[in-house]
Amino acid sequence: MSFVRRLYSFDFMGHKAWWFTLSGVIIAAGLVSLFAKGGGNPLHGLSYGLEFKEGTRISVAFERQPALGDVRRVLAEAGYPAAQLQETANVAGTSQPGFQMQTETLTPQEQDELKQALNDEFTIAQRGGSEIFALQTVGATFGRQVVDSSLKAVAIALLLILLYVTFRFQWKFAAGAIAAEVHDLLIVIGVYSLTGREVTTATIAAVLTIMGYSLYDTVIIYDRIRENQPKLGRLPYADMVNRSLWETLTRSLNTSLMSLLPVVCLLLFGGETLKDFAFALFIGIVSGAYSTIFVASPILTVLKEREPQYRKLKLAARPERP
Amino acid sequence: MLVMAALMAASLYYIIPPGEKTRLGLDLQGGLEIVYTARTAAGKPPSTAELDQTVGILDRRVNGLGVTESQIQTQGTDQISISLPGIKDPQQALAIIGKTAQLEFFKDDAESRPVGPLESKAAALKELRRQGVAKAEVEQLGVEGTTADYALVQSPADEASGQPEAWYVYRRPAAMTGDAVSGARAGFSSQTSKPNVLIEFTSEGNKTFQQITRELYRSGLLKNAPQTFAIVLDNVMESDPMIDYNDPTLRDGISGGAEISGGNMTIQESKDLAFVLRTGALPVKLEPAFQQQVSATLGKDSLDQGLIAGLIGLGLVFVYMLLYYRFLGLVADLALLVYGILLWGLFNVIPVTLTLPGIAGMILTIGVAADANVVIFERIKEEVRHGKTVRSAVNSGYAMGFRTILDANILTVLTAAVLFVFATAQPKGFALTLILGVLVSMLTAVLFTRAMLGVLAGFAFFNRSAFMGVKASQIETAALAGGQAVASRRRREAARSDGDGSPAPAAEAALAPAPPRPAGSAGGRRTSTSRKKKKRR
Repeated sequence: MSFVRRLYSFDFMGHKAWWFTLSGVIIAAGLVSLFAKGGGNPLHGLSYGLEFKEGTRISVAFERQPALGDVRRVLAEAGYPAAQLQETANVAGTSQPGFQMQTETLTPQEQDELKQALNDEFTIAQRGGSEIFALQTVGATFGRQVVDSSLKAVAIALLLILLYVTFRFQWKFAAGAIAAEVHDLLIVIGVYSLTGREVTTATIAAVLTIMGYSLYDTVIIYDRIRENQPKLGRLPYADMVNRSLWETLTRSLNTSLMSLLPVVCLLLFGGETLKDFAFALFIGIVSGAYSTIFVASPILTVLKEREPQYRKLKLAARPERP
Repeated sequence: MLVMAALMAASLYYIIPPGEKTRLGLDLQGGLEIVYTARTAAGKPPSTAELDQTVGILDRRVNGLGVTESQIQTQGTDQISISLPGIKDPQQALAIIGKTAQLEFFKDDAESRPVGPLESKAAALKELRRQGVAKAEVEQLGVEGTTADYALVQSPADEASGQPEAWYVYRRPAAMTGDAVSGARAGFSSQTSKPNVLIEFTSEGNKTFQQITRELYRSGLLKNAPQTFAIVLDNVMESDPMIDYNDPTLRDGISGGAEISGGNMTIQESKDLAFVLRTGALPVKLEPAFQQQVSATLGKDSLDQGLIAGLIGLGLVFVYMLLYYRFLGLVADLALLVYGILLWGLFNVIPVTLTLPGIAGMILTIGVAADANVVIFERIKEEVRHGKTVRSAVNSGYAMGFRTILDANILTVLTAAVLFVFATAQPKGFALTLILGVLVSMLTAVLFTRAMLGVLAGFAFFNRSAFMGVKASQIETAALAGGQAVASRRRREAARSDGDGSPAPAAEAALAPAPPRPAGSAGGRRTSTSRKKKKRR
């Protein structure tokens, strides 16, 4: 309990150098990994899911699980000796064991022939009156398009956030918010690069959402700072921000926790696609909660303390600080 | 309250019976999703008009498949996405939808057929190059199958007659195209009784066709050899009928239509072909950029997993709110229930197609909806700690809290809207559910939470701070706690003056049914904590 109480009187702003260093180190690690794995191009430093790779992917379960070599033989006989083949314990989230295969892009007719060949040899498993079979074909330019439009979306979202926060608060608040935003994005991307986790379209959607949602607690604290500013005008800015943080700490932590609870459930119980979403959301929400206190607020303080009136207050208070 | 009740009733009406009125995406009920990139014959991006025309034709073709909840949308300037949930035979659908159905009639003389028959594509191209056609054009022909001046045509091997595969190059424009076709129907050949497709021409088309066949009859007479013409569909020779110059009834050419006998069509294939010809040729070529095919079983499993995860998440949030906010938590839980019902109802009314990413979006909005309550309740607790009566704390706390939520939610909706505009099909569903979820959660906060709190504040039993999860010892001292932690005396003074500035705590406290403990004891405890802290430093 004493730790919690200490948290509510902790001098967050006084230690900002530490927070900046901590964030800097994590982000730097992510960036190094991105550049190292990408061979100079950070966009290549992530392992993209099969959705981004040209070709046809088939997930299928058979009535009796055949040996890997037998499936490979059928694939070769059908004309795809170079196909990637993988055994999975659960086909696309079912508890059924099966296979995942990736070939070059197949025409509808070729898809049909391959499916027929597999069915003739092993009999595709059925459940509830339909086959356990999924197929996905991705053209050459699809992955590139998704990445391009996502980068565009990030840029526009940042611009809108900048404008809105400037309009509702002040540009110095917006600067803090954008810094927190970029911080969160870099952390999520860095974690993906470091862990080598697959990036899917679901991941990208989740990351873009986090951009808006991670500002939830930032807005809570900003709102309080704005409210406290006229009331506590005689306090040095850092102290005023500290007080605002203490006052809103419970609700910041609770809002983050409220969103984390369902997301963790998704991470534990959801199927493949939902897990992808949940992982990115999880990292984003945690990083968002952190960056509110340790990035957005300190940056706002630094910017504000440059204003003459707050500089004076800061200088006046300094001699008493141990 | 009345509005709320009406909305709830409407939502329930649209929900019951559950499971029947919700529109499921193809990843949840199985089906086929395709994204095509459209290219003109010359390989360039299509014009808006061409793209619109293509969508129109695709719409007719998809409707012919009998899929009830199909969707066709353009994406960007050159892509078209089609989703066919619950479709039984995806392969047949693919064969029908993506077919360009460019029908061309060529005469088989040396003038209109410079190359062929040759045994392979490479040989045909090589021969064309030898005849002095530019290298670039030949290469383009090899890739695209057509250029402005030539068409590369394949005649597939016919096992029945033992005819091997053959390749030709025809000179474009063709003697006739699919524009001259007014209708097509599947039937059976009168000679071989195999399935075929009978084409009917427009009156203009009829004249042209009659003229072509008359010319072929005459040149057959002159050359003393039967002449043929080729019916080519999407670069594949469907049939090459012969005009028998010994048959005097053909003297004036053939009128009334033509027949595509095309090898060994099955009945289904002949029906599909007739259908595609009826819907007309696409002005563009469609290259599949993305295609996803999910069987119904896999979809069902994904849905179950999503729902289970969502319910467990909702349950945890319920329990946490109840434990942390006590009675207010109960209000919040009710608000969440109301929120869930409203959102579900709204989804069914619009109707929103629920996809897997959509479920993820919904589960995230459980958090968003709970957040709104957290912010309002924390604010109310704070007001109570400042010594306000519960009733006035509820009013001011709600007003202040709502302003914060509004800003935070607008930012979430803004980014979700950007995602909706820019994202490709899948994340779009996610963005849409998120936007709707945030809007409904605001509605719930305004209509339900406030009304509930207003009604409850009217009861005497509600006017106890413990209901708010505020311990009596915390009341009134909170405003000072912040100041005391700062070591400087001057700052402490500043904080005190702020405490005085807030609505007179002493007077408010006297009104409260559960008066705070003597300020001295609580304050003293606080001071000792801060003294300890000072020592540590």
